[in-house]
Amino acid sequence: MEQQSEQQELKDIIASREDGFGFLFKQARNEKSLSIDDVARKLRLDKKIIVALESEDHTQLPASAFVCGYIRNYAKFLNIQPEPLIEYYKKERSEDSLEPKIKIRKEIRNQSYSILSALMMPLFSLLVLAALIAGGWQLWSYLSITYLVNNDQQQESILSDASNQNLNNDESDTLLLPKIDASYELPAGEELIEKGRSIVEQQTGTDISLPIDNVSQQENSQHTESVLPSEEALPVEGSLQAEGSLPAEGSTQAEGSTQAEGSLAAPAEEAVATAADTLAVNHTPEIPTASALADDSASSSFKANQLVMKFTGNSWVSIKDADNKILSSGLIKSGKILHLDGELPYNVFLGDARMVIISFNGHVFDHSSYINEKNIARFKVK
Amino acid sequence: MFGFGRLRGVFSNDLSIDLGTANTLIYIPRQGIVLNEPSVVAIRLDHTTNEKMVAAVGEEAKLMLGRTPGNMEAIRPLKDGVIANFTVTEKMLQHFIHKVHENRFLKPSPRVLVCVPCGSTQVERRAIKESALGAGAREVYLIEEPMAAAIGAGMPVSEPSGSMVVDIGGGTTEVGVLSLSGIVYSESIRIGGDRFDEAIISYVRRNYGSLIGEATAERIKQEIGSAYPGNELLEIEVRGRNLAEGVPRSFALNSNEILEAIQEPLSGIVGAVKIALEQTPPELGADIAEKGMVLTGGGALLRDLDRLLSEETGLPVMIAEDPLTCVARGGGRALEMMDEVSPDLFSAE
Repeated sequence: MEQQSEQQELKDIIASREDGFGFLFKQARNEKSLSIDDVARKLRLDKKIIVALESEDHTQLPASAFVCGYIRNYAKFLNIQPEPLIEYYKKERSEDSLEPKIKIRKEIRNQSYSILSALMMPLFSLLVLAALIAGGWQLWSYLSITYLVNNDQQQESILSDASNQNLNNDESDTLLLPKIDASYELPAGEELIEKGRSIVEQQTGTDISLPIDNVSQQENSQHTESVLPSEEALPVEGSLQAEGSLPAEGSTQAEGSTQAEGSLAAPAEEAVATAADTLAVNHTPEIPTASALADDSASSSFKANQLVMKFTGNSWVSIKDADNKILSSGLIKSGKILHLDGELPYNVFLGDARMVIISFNGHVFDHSSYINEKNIARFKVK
Repeated sequence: MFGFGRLRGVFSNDLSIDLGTANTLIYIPRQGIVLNEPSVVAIRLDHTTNEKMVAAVGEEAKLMLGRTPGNMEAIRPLKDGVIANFTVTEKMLQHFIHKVHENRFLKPSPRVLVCVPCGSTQVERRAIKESALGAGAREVYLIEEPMAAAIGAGMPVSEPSGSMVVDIGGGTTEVGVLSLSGIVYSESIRIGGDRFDEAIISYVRRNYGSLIGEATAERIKQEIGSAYPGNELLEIEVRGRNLAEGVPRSFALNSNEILEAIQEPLSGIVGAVKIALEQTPPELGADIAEKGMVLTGGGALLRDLDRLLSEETGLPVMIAEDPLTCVARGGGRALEMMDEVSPDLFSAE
């Protein structure tokens, strides 16, 4: 209590004076008849610091942390309560100067934080985070869709380009083949063959669609070697179809060609048939009919022996060629398209055959007859 | 996990922890000292499951020191400024961190700055770091105690001028000479408040043939302990077990006796300060001679310790404002300035 009242008294004295606490030191020192030297020696401080303390010359004093210590020591030495003096000194010097002098660039750190702002900050950051996540998810889903669409379009365009190229190549190849074969086999009927060839040329050139139904069953029966059920779709018949379908056109040229067939009779027909057989066996590129192309709108390319599989669902597949080389094996995901080349015959095994659309050499191949009750299909493609 | 930790971090405060041998203080920037408790943990052994569990931490546990039944144990997990019992330290930190984050829905995940003695080894620093991480800290920074103490005392550490700080803690005394935000010289001796207590205990046993506990010794030190012979003689009445008779006896001690008792640890501190002055480069020595040195830590509260050091070294010695919390406050201030100041303020592991 005594201390408190003494402190209060000191505070009042300091507050009443304009020159702060310095005079208190000087007064107390004079009362004890001590010189500045005595004090400096006793406190082990420099004389100028004592003078500065008494005159409150802050320019001569070091950092506040030290000055507080000096004031305390000096006050203790003179039997004065140090707390009011230090309090006064601190008030006089701004609070900042009591802090260590390390520059703080972010002034915001010194701002007082209210409870509201303390709550708002995490809430706001949470909202921003949620918005970012939602936005990111939307963007991702949009990108993935456009990517898929683009991919499909690209694939389609590539396929159609490839089929066009193949078509052109095949035309030139197949146009030569019958000529050579026919001329070799049938020197006598050379003229007629030539005529027939020119018709074929015309027809392919004019791109007349030939109905598959027109293909004669006779020809089908001749290709007994082939295992493929959709024989009429095979472009092997291309050259024959041209001849066979001629009557449907009802032109004079068509008559001529039937005449050719008729006049050549057995040997000629045989020769053509063998020619066709060799074609079927060798699977040399043939002229794809326009109908076959139309059928193959899904996806196809017209490379030799190319097996194209489009998956509408996930299916396990294993395809081996004649050398037992694995062309493809494993689970293929829905939407994938496989392009397989190799030596014939292919051994095909499909785990879920209903999910696969197969086309061979550009023609859709219906494999539904090979599918067993467990949706598994095994067959050979020759 | 990282993202979630950051999220939890938004709801947690940065903490500056003065993990001391005697007391643990936690300072939160803009809030000040939020926790000041003794570093004591009471462990209870459950006989049925044979498991140890924490019975009390801090103030409550300190009251149990030396007063526990057989199945309980009051432990001071830190010794000489470093971790002596890793798991108990971790539990204690966990308890304290939770205590300062009470009424929170999420588990706290604060950034933590821990003060370490400058003389601690890498292993000891690692142990402190690990235990803070184990207690739930998101990131742990270490700062050397003299640096934190100087910042907390308000010394101009970043100026090109030497500042000397003597931090007398419970387990260690750190002497540091700082300039330009760096430590020029530092020395850590394993003498602190605990050693004073031990010295008093052994003095009483030797001269009075009586055994007193640590808590009593601490009370004696705080009430009549003095580092320099003063004008007035203080006395205290204490009770201890008489070794010869085996029964508790009461006797009186005076401040001169205590001064005599703690002479040895005191001379250790004075010696460390003198060595530090010897090792300080002359320019910085001149600065220190002009401005003086600052005492921080609980040991600075020992009566007339500043006078003793001043007489012994011939330099002005000042006691910092609120010396007990200097280190924690300095650490908190360093934490606030973390992004702005040079990294050399922080100690490497």
